Amino acid sequence: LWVAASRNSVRKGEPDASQPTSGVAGSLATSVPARANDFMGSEACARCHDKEYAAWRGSTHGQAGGRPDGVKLIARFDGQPLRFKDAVVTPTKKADGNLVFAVEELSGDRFEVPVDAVVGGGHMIGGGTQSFFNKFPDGTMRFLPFDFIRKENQWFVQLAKDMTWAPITQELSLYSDLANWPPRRVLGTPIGMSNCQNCHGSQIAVTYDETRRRYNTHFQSLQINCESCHGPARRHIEIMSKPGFERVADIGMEHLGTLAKDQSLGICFQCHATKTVLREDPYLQGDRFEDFFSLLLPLFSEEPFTVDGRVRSFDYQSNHLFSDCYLNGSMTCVDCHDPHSQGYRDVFGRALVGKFDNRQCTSCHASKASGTDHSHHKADSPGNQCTSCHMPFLQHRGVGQHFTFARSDHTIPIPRPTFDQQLGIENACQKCHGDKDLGWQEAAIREWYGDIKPFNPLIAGLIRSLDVPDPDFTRDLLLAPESNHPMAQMRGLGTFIRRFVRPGKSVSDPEVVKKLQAFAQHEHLDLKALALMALHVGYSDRPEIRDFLDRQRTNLGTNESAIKARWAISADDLGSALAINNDLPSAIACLHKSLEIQPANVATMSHLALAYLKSGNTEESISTLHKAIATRPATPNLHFQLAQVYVQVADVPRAIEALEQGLQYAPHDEMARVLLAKLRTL
Amino acid sequence: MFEKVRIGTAALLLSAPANYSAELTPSQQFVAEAACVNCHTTLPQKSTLRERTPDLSSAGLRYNAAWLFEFLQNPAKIRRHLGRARMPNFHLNEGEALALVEFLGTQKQTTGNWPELPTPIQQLPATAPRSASAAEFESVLARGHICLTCHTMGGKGGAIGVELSNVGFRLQRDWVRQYLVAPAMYGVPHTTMPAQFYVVTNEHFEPLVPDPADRIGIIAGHLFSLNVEKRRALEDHFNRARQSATNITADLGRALFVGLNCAACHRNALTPQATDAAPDLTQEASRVKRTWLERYLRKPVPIRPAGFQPGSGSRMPDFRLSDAEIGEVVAVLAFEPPKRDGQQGVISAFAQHKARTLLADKLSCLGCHRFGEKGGRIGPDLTTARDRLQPDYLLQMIQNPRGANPHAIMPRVPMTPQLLHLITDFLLRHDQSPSASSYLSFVDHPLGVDMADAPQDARYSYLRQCTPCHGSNGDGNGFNARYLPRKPTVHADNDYMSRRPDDTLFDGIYSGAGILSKSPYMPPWGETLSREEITAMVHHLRELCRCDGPAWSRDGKR
Repeated sequence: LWVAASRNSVRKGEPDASQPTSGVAGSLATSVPARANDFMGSEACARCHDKEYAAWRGSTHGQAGGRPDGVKLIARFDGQPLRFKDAVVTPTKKADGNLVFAVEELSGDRFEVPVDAVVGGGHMIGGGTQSFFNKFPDGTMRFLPFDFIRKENQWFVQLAKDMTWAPITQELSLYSDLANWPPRRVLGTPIGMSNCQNCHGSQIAVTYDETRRRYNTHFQSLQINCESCHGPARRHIEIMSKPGFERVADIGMEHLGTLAKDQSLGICFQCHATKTVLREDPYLQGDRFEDFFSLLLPLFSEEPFTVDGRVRSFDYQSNHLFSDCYLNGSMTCVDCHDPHSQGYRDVFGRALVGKFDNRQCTSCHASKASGTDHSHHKADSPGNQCTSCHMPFLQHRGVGQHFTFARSDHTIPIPRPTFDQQLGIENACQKCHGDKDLGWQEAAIREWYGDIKPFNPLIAGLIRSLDVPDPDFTRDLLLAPESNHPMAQMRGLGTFIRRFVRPGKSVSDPEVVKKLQAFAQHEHLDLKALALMALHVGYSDRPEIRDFLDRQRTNLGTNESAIKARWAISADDLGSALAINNDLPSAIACLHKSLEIQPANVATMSHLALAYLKSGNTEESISTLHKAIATRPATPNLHFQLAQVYVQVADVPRAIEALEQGLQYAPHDEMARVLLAKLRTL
Repeated sequence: MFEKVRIGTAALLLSAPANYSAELTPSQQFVAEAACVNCHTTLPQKSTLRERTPDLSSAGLRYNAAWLFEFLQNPAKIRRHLGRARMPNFHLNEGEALALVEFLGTQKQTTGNWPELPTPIQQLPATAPRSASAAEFESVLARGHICLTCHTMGGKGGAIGVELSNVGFRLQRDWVRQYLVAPAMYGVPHTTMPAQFYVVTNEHFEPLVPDPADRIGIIAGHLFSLNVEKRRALEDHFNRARQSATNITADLGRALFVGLNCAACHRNALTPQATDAAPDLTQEASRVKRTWLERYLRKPVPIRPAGFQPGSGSRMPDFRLSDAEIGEVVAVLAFEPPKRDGQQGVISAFAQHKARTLLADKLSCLGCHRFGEKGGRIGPDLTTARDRLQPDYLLQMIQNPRGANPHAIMPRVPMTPQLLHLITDFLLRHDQSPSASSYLSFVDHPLGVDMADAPQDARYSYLRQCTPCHGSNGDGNGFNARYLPRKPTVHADNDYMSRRPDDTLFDGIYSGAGILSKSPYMPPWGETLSREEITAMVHHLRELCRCDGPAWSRDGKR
């Protein structure tokens, strides 16, 4: 089933990237933003910043990707066939040096899929891969389903059934078992398409040219270039090229080393985080990040982390926001990672030899630096490395178990063997002492450390709330507007809303309303917006709440669009979740609330149409889709969705008409063409 | 004749105040005379000044408090036998001067053991005050008293004694009478001021001359009949100041007396001489710029507003040096022709902005140092470092403070070479105008921690290094706290501290509070103090809060 918006908090390389959930407002820009011309490329930086350039060039960012002839190829394009049940795919380096995947189907039909871009170089120690892109006729860059993993030295694919990764075997069908064949996932963040956002390259901006009816895929580079962090350099270069530049303080660029903790983290979280997309027009560095993305809304819509922040399925490093080093300390990414070389350093910026150097930790935790007093492991053993216990490499379970794809745990936890086991996480002790049972591990910890540090109170509340059905009690465990733990606050608030907030039938507890109102005045945009949504959806039948919301709405200032986007998208998320659970009246009410905030959000209209359809109200479903199409005609999926509703009511001519309309905007959409052909035979 | 011989001996001694080695150069001679070594104790030019300045053990008997109050704020030349030494101006405010006066008022000791004063002298207060005319006064002097051989009076007299016409408002009448009976009772050797009226024989005062008490009464009566209006004016001013200042105590004055190192130049009954009241000048030429030093000696401005040792109140006073005298000091400190000028070249406006932001938001420097209007008042104002310090010294001081200056309390802050050079270049070349600087009032910042007898343990370390911000009792209210954007941790706060693990306290001390997301202005001490010293400091914090860290943080111990 088509819907107008795909999941927008798509993560890089995420196994699942094509389910309908949230929507975005506004229209896709029709041409590459002029601001894209403000980016000059890393070579321009090298002219003055040669040392930084050299460090970057050898870094994982500097080697993140590029044209096939400009990267270090680790995948085997050796002409050895990859045999599927219904096709043979042969990665081949041709005589002219070009890379192709030569596909031979059972019918004997043959065609080649050229490799136009390579991403990744197998750099990551916990499991590094290399992926390939093809320029599609519709102007997108499409991610190809054949990946290579370095450690196992194997080609692999992602399975449609559970989105895990698997080696290629003759039991697999290319056409029906793969998540991404024909290639659907695109580079950039275009609406309605499975995508890997804007992080596998620099300054990626995908726009739709309504005249030519094709996409423009713009990017500066498939490396992660200087301007990905530092922002556009044009003005900087102009200023620095003029005599007297030394007399101006504004050099067209900010010094990132002076940023405060959250600002500094924000630079890295542009990519190293799961994030909800708020707008469809392309984000470029220099834009206000919070206008385009939300870091905390994914906790409401997807639960990407365990209750204490560990990666549940597949994620990045924004769970650092669960760590004590962040919450009670000053830790940013660059306190350990040299941003240019990707090498390691201590909190004072002094270079360290490697990623397991304890001084990353002990330059702050000096009290733990005295021999083996704290670790209780031999000095030269892995057990005496801070990271072994506190940043263990955890397998991303969304990938499955065929390949090692583990990332060090940036929640920097204390090993809790039993608790970790309950979460389904391999605890740090287990990694070396897998032959010992949990009791043995717990006893060792107890002997060495006595009682271990309690959880943050809010996390403890979240854990307890899992077993508590009573909303009054749960309220106190989950709603903590005064806390200083945004991730846990979001998790608590989101959990409460999902459990207890329904249009017209929310828990009527004055304390809850008070806490929601406190959240609604929080300075954190995500928390504020989610609470506004909860009051709007659950309590706006009360006059005093309507007054409160009116006051808040007229007082959003420069954050108005950022908050309203979060507000509307979270209402859409809640509505869509209710629809999945068949609480359709609530779902429909929720989606209408979302449209009160963002009336032109065609994704929400699409979800509303879906809910109406599910409730049996095809008339409203069709009417809603017509409204959406009137709002944004050049959205092929709206037409395709409309066609499907017409199919359901057996109105074949109108279904054909809608498909034809949609194909005007997406002439290469394979599924639409197949359906159209079938309908025409009826 | 007998009397004349004694007086002649005194005159001979007084005329040779600079009894120093003939091998000294004229410049060294000046530095020795001026007694710079009394505070800058590492200078080789030793001084005998302390033997000739007033002994303050009896200041409470001796001085008119109202005059002392005025004099301490505006010192002027009184004594003429000090060579080129002089009482400098310490820039005391009224409260500070008052505190010193209160303290000195308690100093009522005489020197040595003396018989009971002659009965006529004891009776004088009952019959006095009496006035005596100039004629009476002169007739007494004409009876063989050669006061004006040394002293001056109304433009007449000797060249080495104090002006006698000021006595009436400077001193106390009773003291003058007793002093004339036995000058040595107040620490003045007879070779300096001979006894002319009495001599001690068989543990009794015996008259040296006929009617000694009358003569003394006439001399005192005449001297105290002079400048009556001035005395009254001084007393009015003093009384007003005293009435308006209710928080001034002798104890405060004592602490300031110690802090200012008054004992360096004045004998007194109570306090030892400080050895760490001023910088070591032996390497001064490699530390500071000559142009700055000349300007500074001409008009000293506060460098460490709370004292050379934080909170001590010590300060470089104004000696009212002439250009020639400044030249002598500079010559002794061995300044060479200027080397490369640190202010040459430019630092870009952006680099300035960057450094300024790092100083304000990331580094610990402004916890102690001022820059512009921001920052603490413990160390020297960094805004003026470019004019004051030699570039190489500044760099070394940032890089390794106690290597560059063993007396510094400044800790070494780990940093990359790039950051070191950025901050050094910025401090040498920034374009910020210095703000007016003034000493912190000792009355408002009564730290007055007397560390002289403190054992060199964690408490001492805390008093020396932590107290300026955290307060001597850990109340977070040290004198520097008001200049910090965030209140320092209250180490005496049992509730808060009992939630902080020992390891966290250790880490904060070791790596600075910035790592704990607290104030970056609390510097890292890990490269200055040993691990054992930091552990001892954590124990001291536990004594201040009378608490332990959370049970879970103790690794099952205790």
